[in-house]
Amino acid sequence: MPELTSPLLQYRLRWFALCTARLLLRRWQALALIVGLGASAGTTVLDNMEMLAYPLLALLDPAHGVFWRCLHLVALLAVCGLWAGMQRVQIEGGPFMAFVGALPFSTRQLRRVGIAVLLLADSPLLFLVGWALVSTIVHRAPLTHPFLLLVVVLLALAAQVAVLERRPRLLPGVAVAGCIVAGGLSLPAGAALTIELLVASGAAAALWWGTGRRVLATAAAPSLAEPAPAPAPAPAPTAPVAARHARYNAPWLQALRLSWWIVFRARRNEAVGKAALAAGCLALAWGLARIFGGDARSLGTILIAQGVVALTVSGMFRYLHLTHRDSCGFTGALPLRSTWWRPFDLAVVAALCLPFLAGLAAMAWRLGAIAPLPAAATVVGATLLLWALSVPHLFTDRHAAVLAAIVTGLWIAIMLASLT
Amino acid sequence: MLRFEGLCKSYGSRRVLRSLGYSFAPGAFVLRGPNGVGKSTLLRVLAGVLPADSGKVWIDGRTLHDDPLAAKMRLAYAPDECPIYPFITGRELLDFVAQAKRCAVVPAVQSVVERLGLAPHLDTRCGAMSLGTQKKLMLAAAWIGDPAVILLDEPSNGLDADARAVLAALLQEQSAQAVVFISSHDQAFARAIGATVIEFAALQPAA
Repeated sequence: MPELTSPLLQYRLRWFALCTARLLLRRWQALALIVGLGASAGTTVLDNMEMLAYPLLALLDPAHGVFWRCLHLVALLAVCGLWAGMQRVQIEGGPFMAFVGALPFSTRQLRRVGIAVLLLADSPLLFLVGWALVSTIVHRAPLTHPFLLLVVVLLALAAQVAVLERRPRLLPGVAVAGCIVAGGLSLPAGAALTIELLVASGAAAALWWGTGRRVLATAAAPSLAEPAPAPAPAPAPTAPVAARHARYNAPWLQALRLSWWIVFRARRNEAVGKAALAAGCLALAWGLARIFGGDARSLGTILIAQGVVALTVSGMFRYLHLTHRDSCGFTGALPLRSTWWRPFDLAVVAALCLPFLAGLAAMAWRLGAIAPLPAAATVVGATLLLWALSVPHLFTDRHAAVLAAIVTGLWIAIMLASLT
Repeated sequence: MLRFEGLCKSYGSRRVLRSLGYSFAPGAFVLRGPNGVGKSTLLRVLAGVLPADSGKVWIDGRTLHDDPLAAKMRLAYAPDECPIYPFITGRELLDFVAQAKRCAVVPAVQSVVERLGLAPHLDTRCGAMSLGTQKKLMLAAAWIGDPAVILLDEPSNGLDADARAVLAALLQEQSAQAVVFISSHDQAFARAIGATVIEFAALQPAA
């Protein structure tokens, strides 16, 4: 496997480290924070591990039926696909890979290098898999359990490769393979292990040899500056049309559209990822609040979920801020005040976040945990929190995540104190 | 040496290349056409950087679709931008391209490096180079592996007058044994190479 020691892999890994160093650090910081919180609550290391690896360990729980297990595994694969999609630019190697596309590297060489970079991008997720594996070994689970976790890793890699190579047609196949493995767990150990071995071999072979000409890096070759499509010549606007143009081209509307485009064109993967995470929080809070039956714990759960949703979605401020800052070389010469984009960024991020905040408030009201007026107040409060969370990104890249987590914690405490 | 037939490429619903075809013998050719017509897209498709929706490309007798490695061994491409990783030095880039083409940075390439005035910058990281120096580096890399087809996108952009003259002389020399296919708006540069000017519209089949 000479490609695994090649300069190409070294350059790709270095590029990935260069452009994701802070992001990767933050993910590890978040993991460390959760572990620290667990430790401060007096849990053992094993409990802590099991809490973090719960999404994987739940898959092995014999209490769950085949249907639930299939759905859960497909959801896990979808999250892994989103995880890779969110890091597409960094994993694919940037514009340099478009130049490399003109050099005589084989599809397999490029794919294997791409998968090596993908493994680095997946390191926080693989850490959780490692913990889940340790947990199964400590509990002396049957061999099919740790092996299933390894099959899930291979299938997740296959799903991620399909996402990165923009081949959505492969995803149903990966999902079906996942369902077969998840369903096989209910069979006797020998049969389950055979199924796992077969699926693992298939996934490993597909990853190693590939299934087509596209590869991780060159699938998105237009990473070199995409030629701007020549617009069709537009007819000269008539007077009423010109007036309408003037109305639609109001400066504030242009600025708002700019923020909108950054989020939904340039950062669509990140926006979808954060929306999916927020939807996950909403679903989790709904489940817990229903278990609590609308008592005081339900309100606490909903408020915590609102805080977490605001914190999660506020990450978009960083992308927006960086994009605006990068364009300052041009926009700085325009007659605009500095940080002119802030209110528009806030409006767009709030538009992304509000459905989840409002959904959580409506949920609390429906469960009888809160009256309509205070429920509306939580939405307003969470929007104010979102505004507050936009501030750290303006002044500090390095500590924004930690500051935002502290501010969110304070907000949850204040809201809990004032509403209970 | 360079031939393509029925090349089509679309970005979404917009068709950029419509069944383009042409055949080139060794020589210098400058592709001309208005901005946004698809010149850079064509070069990227010919370089194998961007897959065509349909059509075939032959590089020195090998099809880019069926035998991409052999075709790319005989090909050199320098894009308009300089998409090199900022942490790579000039020397590392040249070594990297040579390794990919399974050859060495031979004295002829070193001569190109020296004529372009790149020698003092070879140990500088690309991120610390000026745009012109980065451009020269990409152009020098095009001489590695004795290519039969050289595709250059706006090669004279960002070069000083001396470097432009050197590049024109180098391309003129190379065009005796290889196809030098350039996209450029620079008419003086095209004249300096002694290139045949081809209008983009001429690559399309007659309606």
